[in-house]
Amino acid sequence: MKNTQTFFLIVVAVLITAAPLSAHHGRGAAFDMTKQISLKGTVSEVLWRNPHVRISIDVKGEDGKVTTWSFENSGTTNLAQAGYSRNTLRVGQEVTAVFNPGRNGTPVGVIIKFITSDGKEIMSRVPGGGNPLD
Amino acid sequence: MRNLLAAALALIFPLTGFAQGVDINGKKSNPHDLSGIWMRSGGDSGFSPAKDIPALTPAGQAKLKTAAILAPSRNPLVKQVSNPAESNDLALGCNPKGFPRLLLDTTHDYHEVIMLPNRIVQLWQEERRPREIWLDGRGVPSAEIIDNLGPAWYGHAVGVWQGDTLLVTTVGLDERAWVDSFGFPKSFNARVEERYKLVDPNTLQVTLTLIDPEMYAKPWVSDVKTWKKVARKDITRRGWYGLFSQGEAICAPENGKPFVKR
Amino acid sequence: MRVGLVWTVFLSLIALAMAGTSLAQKEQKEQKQPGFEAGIETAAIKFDVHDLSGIWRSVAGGLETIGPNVPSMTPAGMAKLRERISADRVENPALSNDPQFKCNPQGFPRLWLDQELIENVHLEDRLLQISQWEQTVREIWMDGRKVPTPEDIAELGPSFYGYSVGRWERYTLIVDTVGLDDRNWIDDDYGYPVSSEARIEERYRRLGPDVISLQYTLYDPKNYTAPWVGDIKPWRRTPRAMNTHFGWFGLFSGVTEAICAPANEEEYHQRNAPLYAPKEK
Repeated sequence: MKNTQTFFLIVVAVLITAAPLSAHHGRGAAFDMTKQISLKGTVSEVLWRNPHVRISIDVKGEDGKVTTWSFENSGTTNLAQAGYSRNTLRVGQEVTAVFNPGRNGTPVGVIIKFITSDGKEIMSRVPGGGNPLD
Repeated sequence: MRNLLAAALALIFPLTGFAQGVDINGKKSNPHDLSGIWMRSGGDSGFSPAKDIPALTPAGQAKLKTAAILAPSRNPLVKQVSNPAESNDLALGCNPKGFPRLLLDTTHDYHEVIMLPNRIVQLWQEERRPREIWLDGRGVPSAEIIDNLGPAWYGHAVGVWQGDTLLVTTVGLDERAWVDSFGFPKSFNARVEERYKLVDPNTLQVTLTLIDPEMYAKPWVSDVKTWKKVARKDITRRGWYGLFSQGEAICAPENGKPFVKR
Repeated sequence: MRVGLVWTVFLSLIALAMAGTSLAQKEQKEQKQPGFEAGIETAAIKFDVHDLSGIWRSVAGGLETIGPNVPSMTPAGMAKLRERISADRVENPALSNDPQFKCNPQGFPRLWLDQELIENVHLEDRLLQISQWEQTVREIWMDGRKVPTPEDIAELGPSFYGYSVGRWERYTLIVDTVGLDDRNWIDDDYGYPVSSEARIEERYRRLGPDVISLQYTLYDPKNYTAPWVGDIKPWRRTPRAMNTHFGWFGLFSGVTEAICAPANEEEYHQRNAPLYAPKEK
């Protein structure tokens, strides 16, 4: 029944890219992709759920007022395949969010990357970063 | 001679607790082979009869109070409604039933057990859902690992044979899914143990134990659930044999009721 | 030996085609994350062409439909396509009528065309395909049965995942699927239709230890004037490390939320509704 074949092959391994998840929610349209904002804050929520993970941070303004910004990410499958989990960022952790903001001024954005307090870039949108725009 | 043989068999039988023989489809049976398509026999969709439900902790009671169920209530804290639109049963909205509810529910009775070298796959006709029980020697994930992995509707399950009983331990369950259709809660830190035994070539039984100190004052032990092996001819339609020959029991919102839009 | 030479040439051509993709993504090597592989190997490798087991991922490079050469469509097919609004066509995804956003099953072939993980498990009588996304299965029966006739399907009923039968023709596994639900969308981005009278043929061929090629052909005279012959889609085996999270190995490891739950979709749309409100002046 089984056949075993022996071949000489030149195998070019194909990189497995973090491809868009099943649910294409067309998120780009709601955000101003021409703008990029960087905000430093404290993680207040990690909603590790599909269709898209949401991570929120509390940002203290110059006037002392705290605003909660929420960031949309890819789905759990893409992030998990890139090695991230729901505990990669924890409530209370200091982090910088780099993102494209919502078009209508609501404190929501779609994440480009997070930068932890030790300078490490995580959950990035760059190819292979695990957090594609989908 | 015949009496001697009968006596010998009578001695052997209680020792093994298992009737050697073939199953309804003519396959030689083995106490460690649970494969086949099974149909629930008797019982209802509850984890246990009402009298066996343990006392709930204050947190458990608070959770139970939030449930609005269609089934007749088994606890005065639960609100019973007759209109599906008033129920907050997630399953009515085609959310996953989760574990152990999918196992307990008798709405669709068929499931198939597939034995693989490193795991068992329970394939449920309802939801068209595979559930993996790992038999590759891995341990039950610790609380720390489960906290990192996060909750899963069907949890993370590990099995080990204890004689002819398969002990399955499941942890890391999504607390949004009720234990059963009567609205009983479970926490993310709950642990469910199942004890499976092939009573005879055509009868599989399981007892469940829910250990959830956050919600229940003591472990909750179920009654015995019984499945009967299905004859091949009874799971074949128009010449098509298989679990899904009896219909595709996926809850699809576009199919209409019992889906209720929230 | 002639067969071996033909195979070597064929496989080299495939490998060269895939090299184009790899070179274009060369910069990604710098962004390598745990669980990803890159490299070039030359080796004499033994493998069983009839063994498709393992966890695989389609690396088709973005074209998540049957193929680029869509045949012309019948009036019925065009009408069906026009009424479908994919998320890519609207600014607010809540305005899309894509059934998957209400967690209707994606069905076949859509779920298989998506670049999600699929595990192949060979059983005595079938090839079981387990999909990570939706945590669902597909059975390809290898026990000699024929595909159901239209009369059979009328009684069995249509299926989101169809009724599939497979057979080996030398090195190729040919799978025929019939009895699909005509509410299925073939793909995410366009919403191409498939009728309940359609037949989809898949051709799987294992090219190497870690590569399978897959080609779809759709026969659906109700919606298309000719068969839709797809391109060749490589499936790449995923490394064990990619499917192991915190020591837990398996298709569903680390992706506990791979089931579409309406509760999640509703919450997502509700929390994003403010994004589509008029800008505050």
